[in-house]
Amino acid sequence: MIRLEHVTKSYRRHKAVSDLSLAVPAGEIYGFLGPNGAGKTTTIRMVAGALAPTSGTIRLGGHDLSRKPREAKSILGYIPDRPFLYEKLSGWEFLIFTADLYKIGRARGEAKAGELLELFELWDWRDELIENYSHGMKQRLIMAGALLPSPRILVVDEPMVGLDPRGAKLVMDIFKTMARRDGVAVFISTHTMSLASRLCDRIGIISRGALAAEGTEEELRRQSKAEGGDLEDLFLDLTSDSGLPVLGGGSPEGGRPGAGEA
Amino acid sequence: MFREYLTLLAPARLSFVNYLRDPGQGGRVKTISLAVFTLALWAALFLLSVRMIRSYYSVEGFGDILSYKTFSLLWISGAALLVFSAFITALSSFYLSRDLPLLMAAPVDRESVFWARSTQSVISSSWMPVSFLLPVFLAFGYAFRAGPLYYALLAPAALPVVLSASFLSQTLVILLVNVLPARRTRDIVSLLGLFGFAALYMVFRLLRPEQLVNPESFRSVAGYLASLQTPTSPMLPTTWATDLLWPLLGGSRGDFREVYLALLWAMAGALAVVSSYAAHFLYWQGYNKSQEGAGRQKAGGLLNLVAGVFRLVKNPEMRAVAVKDFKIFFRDHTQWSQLFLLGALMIIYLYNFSVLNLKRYPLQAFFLENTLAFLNVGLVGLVSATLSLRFAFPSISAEGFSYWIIRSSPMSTGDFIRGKLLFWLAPIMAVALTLTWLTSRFLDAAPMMAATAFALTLLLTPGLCALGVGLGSRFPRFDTENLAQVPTGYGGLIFMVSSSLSLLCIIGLSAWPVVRYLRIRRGMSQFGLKEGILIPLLALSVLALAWLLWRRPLKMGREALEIYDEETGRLDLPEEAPDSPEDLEPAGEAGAAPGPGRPRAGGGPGRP
Repeated sequence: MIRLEHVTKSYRRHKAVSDLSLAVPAGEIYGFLGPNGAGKTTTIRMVAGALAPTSGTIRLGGHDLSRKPREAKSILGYIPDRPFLYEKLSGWEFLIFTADLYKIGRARGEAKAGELLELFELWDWRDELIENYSHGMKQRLIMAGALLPSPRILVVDEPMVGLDPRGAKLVMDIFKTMARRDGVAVFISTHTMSLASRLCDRIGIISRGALAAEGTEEELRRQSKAEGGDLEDLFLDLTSDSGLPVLGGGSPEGGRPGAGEA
Repeated sequence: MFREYLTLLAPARLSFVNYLRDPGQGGRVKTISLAVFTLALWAALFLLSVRMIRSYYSVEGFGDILSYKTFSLLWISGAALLVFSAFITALSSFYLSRDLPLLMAAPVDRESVFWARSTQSVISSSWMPVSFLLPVFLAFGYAFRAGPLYYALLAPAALPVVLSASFLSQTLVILLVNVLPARRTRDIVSLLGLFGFAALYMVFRLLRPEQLVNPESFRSVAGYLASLQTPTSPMLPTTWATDLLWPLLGGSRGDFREVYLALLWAMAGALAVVSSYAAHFLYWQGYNKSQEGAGRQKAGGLLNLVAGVFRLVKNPEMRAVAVKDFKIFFRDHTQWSQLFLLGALMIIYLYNFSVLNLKRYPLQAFFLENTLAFLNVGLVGLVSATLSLRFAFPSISAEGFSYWIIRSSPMSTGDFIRGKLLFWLAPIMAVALTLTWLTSRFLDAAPMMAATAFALTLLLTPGLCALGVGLGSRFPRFDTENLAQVPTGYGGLIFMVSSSLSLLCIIGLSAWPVVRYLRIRRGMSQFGLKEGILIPLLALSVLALAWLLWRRPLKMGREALEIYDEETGRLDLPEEAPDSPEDLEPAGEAGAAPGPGRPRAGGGPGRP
């Protein structure tokens, strides 16, 4: 459903994403893990059509995103990490705007908007301007907007930012249902290990713009150098050259450099 | 405390220094073009002012008093402008800035925060009025052949006026925020300011100031002098500044009245103390109050009903964007309130033509009326260009950070731009055609000339609007906090230059056929082979130019938006194209990775 072939994104001499290839079939939840600055958001924005790759091909449902953007984007739902919305529209107006943008028809759009506002517990706020919403409410509204056109592909950047535990649980259940029941391909970027572990069927770890490892959680555990290591150990192993720095400037193992020499 | 104060000013200072070091993509070209444009504007303002001052001074018997009154009025209006500008800036700076929670949470004295903000507010509210008034004051010195003391005392006289205006506004802001919520205060004050400006503009024009330089139009000397009355008070700093500098324009050092300079600085000092007391007792209290919401605002009502008219738009995506833009425009007071200025502009425009009495010159009346009706196309073009710059140009940037919604949707960039264009073209076209038609009627133009003016306006306006939307797409500023500032940037400058040149070309190409027509109509010439060949050719050229103006900017805008990079806020040009090797580093998440050759802000030491 989602296919990236040799995708590269360069900013002059710096490669934000380098020769990235991966595929997410229908009905799968794919977790895209990586530290800050690894290229997760750049990749997500390229898949969402908000950013053009320097080279390589992105196919959504078989449609080449650069050649047939309209067809590719019409089956896509995108949830960015920051809830930027039209502050002077109400929640209801935003969803109707989305329905028109995705050409799903006014009657169906209104029915779906009502359903989603109920689902995300925003029905009572439907006529309030978005500028009055809290961060979490805006995030939920964005999710409602992304689900409104019944997408076959869902691309999500840091899904739990700004959500309370109840909201987070609701969102996880929705993603699972969409993948299992409706066969939606869900591509999630996160750096939260526990979320990836609980939600994703497969996980890709990106480091310095390139895919460092890929597989199910079990497969990744087996790849980990540390015996009996968990996902977090593998993540740290793959994404850093040395151990973690600690407060005071020393390494976790050795303490402050030179401290023992005195 | 002083150290804290300097530290708190560091972000603004460093941002400015960093901008000078690395002005961004195409920054050097932009900076040079802006500098050239500003210098040209200053020169024009200086020369125009010298001319005006000389013409005022040459009015026999009244020249001196007229010049004095103008000089005094300049100080009063400058100070009024400063008070208004400082009020709006202080409100944002003290209560609404995004970084305030961070500063308030820091272990710094709140009075340091206040004084740092006060300094920033003084600078940002005064630099523009001061820089535009400076050439006028210099022109006074030049026209009157003032001595060096006049120039030397300009800054020491102007600075306390600037400071007094700022401290007065700051004190008012602190007091008002304790009574009204900050968010509402800004709305109320900016609306009042706008209405006041529109009203003042209309009153000023309807008073027919051009009669001041024509004393013959007054029946008596007393009537003339009465018409020159301007509000002056011996207690106002602007009067002190006027009375300090006016005698020095004559070049005599003996006329230097030190007391006025002392008064000016004493007033600035006194207002600083008042402002400081107000801040000490009320700033923190007001800041807490300003954090309360402005109250919940609900959607619905009349606006939804009127938005129903967009059902006529068949394309659902374009309709969706149009309905959204319509609602946002009328819910944002900073946007809809500009319609009052537009109304005032239209009334004054039509009034100017209604008071023209060309029948006074019976022999030339026909030529004058019809030539003016034709030249009016250029003036209406300028109005359309202004409206396009004010409304169509920032319409793309108006999407703000929410642009991702359009970008990730199936809507094509072309449809998005066309939707924006059609949304703004309809009202701008309506204004342009109304002005053209009514002006032709006021001028009593020949039907053929009125029809030509109407047709030319019909041809020109879409091109100017397309230029606005196209260049607005080429130079988008999605990160702007204030949409009104978008047209004042580099893209706006390019728009002004391109639209003026296009207008000149179209008027230039149409001028010869129009003159020929008028001569033939008066029997002064015959329609010959030359006219038969040249008139269709020129008409075709005008059509081609109008077509180019319609097509080219839209294409350029679409191509630019398609490669717009949200992470860097720049155009994602091919690798060979950037201005400098460092220019295309991303600023977002991916950019956090240490890229080679990335310039280090502030030039501090690198991480070991």
